[in-house]
Amino acid sequence: MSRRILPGFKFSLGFTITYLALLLLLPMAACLYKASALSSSQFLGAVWTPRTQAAYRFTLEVSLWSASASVLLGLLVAWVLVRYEFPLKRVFDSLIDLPFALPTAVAGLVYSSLYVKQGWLGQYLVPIGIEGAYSKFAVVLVLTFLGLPFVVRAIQPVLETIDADTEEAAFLLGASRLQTFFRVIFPAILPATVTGFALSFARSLGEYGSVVFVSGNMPFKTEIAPVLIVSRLEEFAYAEATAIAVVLLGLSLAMLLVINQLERWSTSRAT
Amino acid sequence: MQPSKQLKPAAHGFRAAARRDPAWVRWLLTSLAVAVVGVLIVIPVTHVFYQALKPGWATYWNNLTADADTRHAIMLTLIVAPSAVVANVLFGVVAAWAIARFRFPGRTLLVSLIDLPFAVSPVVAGLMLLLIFGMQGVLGPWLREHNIQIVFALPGLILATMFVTMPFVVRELLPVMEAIGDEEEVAAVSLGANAWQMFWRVTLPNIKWGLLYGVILCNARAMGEFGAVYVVSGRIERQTYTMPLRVEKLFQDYDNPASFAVASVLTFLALVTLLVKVVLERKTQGELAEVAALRQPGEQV
Amino acid sequence: MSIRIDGVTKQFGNFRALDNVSLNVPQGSLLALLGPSGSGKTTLLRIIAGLETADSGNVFYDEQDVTSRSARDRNVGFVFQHYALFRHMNVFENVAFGLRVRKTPKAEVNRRVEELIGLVRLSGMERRLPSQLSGGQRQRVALARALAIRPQVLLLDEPFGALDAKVRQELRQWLRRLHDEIGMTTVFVTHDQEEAFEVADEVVVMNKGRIEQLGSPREVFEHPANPFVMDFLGHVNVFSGRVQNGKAHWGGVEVAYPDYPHGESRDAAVYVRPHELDIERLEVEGSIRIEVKRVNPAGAVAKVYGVSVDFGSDVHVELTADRYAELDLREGEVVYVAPRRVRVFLPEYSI
Repeated sequence: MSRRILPGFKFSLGFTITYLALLLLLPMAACLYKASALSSSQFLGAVWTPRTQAAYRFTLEVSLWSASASVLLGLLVAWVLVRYEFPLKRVFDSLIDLPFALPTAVAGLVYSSLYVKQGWLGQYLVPIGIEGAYSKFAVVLVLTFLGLPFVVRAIQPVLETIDADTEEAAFLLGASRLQTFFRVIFPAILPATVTGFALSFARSLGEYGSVVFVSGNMPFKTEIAPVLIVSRLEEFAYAEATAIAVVLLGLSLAMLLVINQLERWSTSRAT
Repeated sequence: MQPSKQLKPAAHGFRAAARRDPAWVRWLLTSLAVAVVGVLIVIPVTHVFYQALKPGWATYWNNLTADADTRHAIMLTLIVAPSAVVANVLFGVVAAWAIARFRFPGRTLLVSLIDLPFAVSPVVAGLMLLLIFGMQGVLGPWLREHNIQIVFALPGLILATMFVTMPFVVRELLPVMEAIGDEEEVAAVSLGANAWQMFWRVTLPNIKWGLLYGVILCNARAMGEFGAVYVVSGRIERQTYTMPLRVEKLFQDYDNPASFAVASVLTFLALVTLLVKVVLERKTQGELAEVAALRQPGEQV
Repeated sequence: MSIRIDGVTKQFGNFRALDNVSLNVPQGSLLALLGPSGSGKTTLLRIIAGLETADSGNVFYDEQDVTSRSARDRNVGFVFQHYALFRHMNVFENVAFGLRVRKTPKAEVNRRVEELIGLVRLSGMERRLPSQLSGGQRQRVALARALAIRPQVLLLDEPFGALDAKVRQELRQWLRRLHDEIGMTTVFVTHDQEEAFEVADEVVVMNKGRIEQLGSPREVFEHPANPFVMDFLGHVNVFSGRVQNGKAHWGGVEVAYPDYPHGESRDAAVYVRPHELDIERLEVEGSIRIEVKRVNPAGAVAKVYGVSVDFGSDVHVELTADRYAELDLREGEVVYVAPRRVRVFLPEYSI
């Protein structure tokens, strides 16, 4: 662009890199440095025990479930927001962002109290066998709450760009409504949908604040990986906590790469 | 010549027959969507206020103000969140300037790096800070020697919050600055403005709504941050408990009304954030539309 | 297939897009719906396609009432102004779409699509995505896609509106030739009179939801039915005059106007096209004096802008290059302007 005309290139880039180095790269380096002090058997001993395996499995499982639920529900919500008119639609639209703004601890607190036996929703659900508190379902539920806006906000703008002409063209060529959806609309929003899934999945993998409230944190059953890190820390087992954190960090970085690729795919398709 | 865009009645709120889904489909899907948002979002929010106010207004007020620990948590959050926001606004503006206005090798990598805190688990973020500044940390011995307390103290809380909320301001500013383009700034410089004058008179007025929007989002997240702060806080009563941590503490102590009372303040702030966001979004879009209109040939005033 | 529109009315809120429109499109004709924005031409096209439903009135295909038949079942080929290509499908898949949703056998799909891609001269580009094509190529893909389902009628909405001038010129010629080859009933919408005249057999001039005139390009241009059509079809000088006893007067000019034989004098508008005015140095009968303000000799005709000395109104004259060279006009000189032909309209037809 205008590297030579506009001022402040060296200063702004220097400041940015310094800030990132101090706040981001230095801590990551410290984490890797601490982990590297472990021998490989120590490392494996920390990250690959029956309890950690159960925690990874549980974390992945609830993240997959919640991201899938977010995609299904988010698709529905985005569809309705873009295509239909109804009273209070603007309020409805802005409420979608609430999970972005609401502290996760509050989400955890309220979800844990809604679905217990005496809770507003629990009083109807618990008698028919749906345990929405201190269970796997409870975790999936609160993670779906957190993931929903990621999916809606990923799909909504893309859905808006599909103009009426395109649908009319499909219709005139003889496609039914379902054929139009599956052959024309869905392929167009697929990259955005997958991006939404990945964002919500990534968010779920690392989530801590809300899950501690609702999961019950039972080892081998409803314990997520971040909770495991915290309990290791509370036992002053820093090395083990660090080892598990490295695994989680690797997973996060991988997700970030995937999301970046997906977003590139989305924009290349949008033209 | 610009192709003239035809006024199409179909584009003016009258949806053509082919695009309109049958009434029962519209009804069914709209009801389902409303139910989803109702169950996932509206009921929980209502429930927070219901639980907080159930014992009555007097008790509610008491829950918020009588307990010294709660009072301290509120004060602490009011220090930690703004500090982190100020740091990230500074970073956000400078970084957005570098990224939006210049091309340099590694630029894409830099953008990805800025996104990193979105992906990293807050707990891991907190742990990483412990591993530098904690007793066992890389800098631990040196810090102890010089009697500097970072983790389990205010600086740690601010650092953890800064880490987690780092991307918000940049992320809001980048698209705005890219959409506005650099023409006005180049014009200002060519007219003899120095860097400060250009920034205060041209750049800042152009990005102000986007910036404010970033600040609002950043602040919401900063006030609510739990995982990272939890790890670096060491949970020392009346020293390192922020509001979200206090919510959890009261919950663990089975003091539900008090826990919900603190939660209701945070929820109220979240709702205000949404409201401000709606207003600002409209302003930003108006601004961008203006820029787009100015770029059109003059005929369509 | 022939198309007949019978008394169609369409209202959007307070805006009357079509007002009791009736129209016949004979089998095999190439018809242009010409009019300014908001004249209802696109709405009419969409009603023919079944994309809008008329509030009242009927649409017939080959004398069969299709008013309530869904657009999906009308089997029309429709080309959208902005192409409306499926952006995630390549050229081949776009063209094949209509056949695929009809569950056409694969071999047949391949054969038909290749044939059409050849017809629109895009062979070798089957695997390209719409984003990798130029505007003109996209338009041809849209056309091939519309033709793939073997429609009985082809409808095009501003088919060349979004293209640059040169490509537009080529595609016009090409569409005309294509129509002559396959002979399909074709209706297209345009706001460009030149385009309508160049491509169409018949032109329908529309304004404010009504049909103002229907005829061959020559008829419409030579014998505009009313001031709107006259004005819409190119530059025109308008003078205010009077009519009385079968004659129209304007300044010193008098022309026959048998349509108004009455003795009572009435206001009338006198329309003269710039190329139907002659400039003379000496006074001739039936002329007005103008002062030459500006001349623009660039182009196939020389344009002269002047002001009437007696009325103060602007007068716009077009001369052939030869005549212009012969006259050697100077700016500021006063000359005489005589119409070879005028059209007189009474005020009830005013625009």
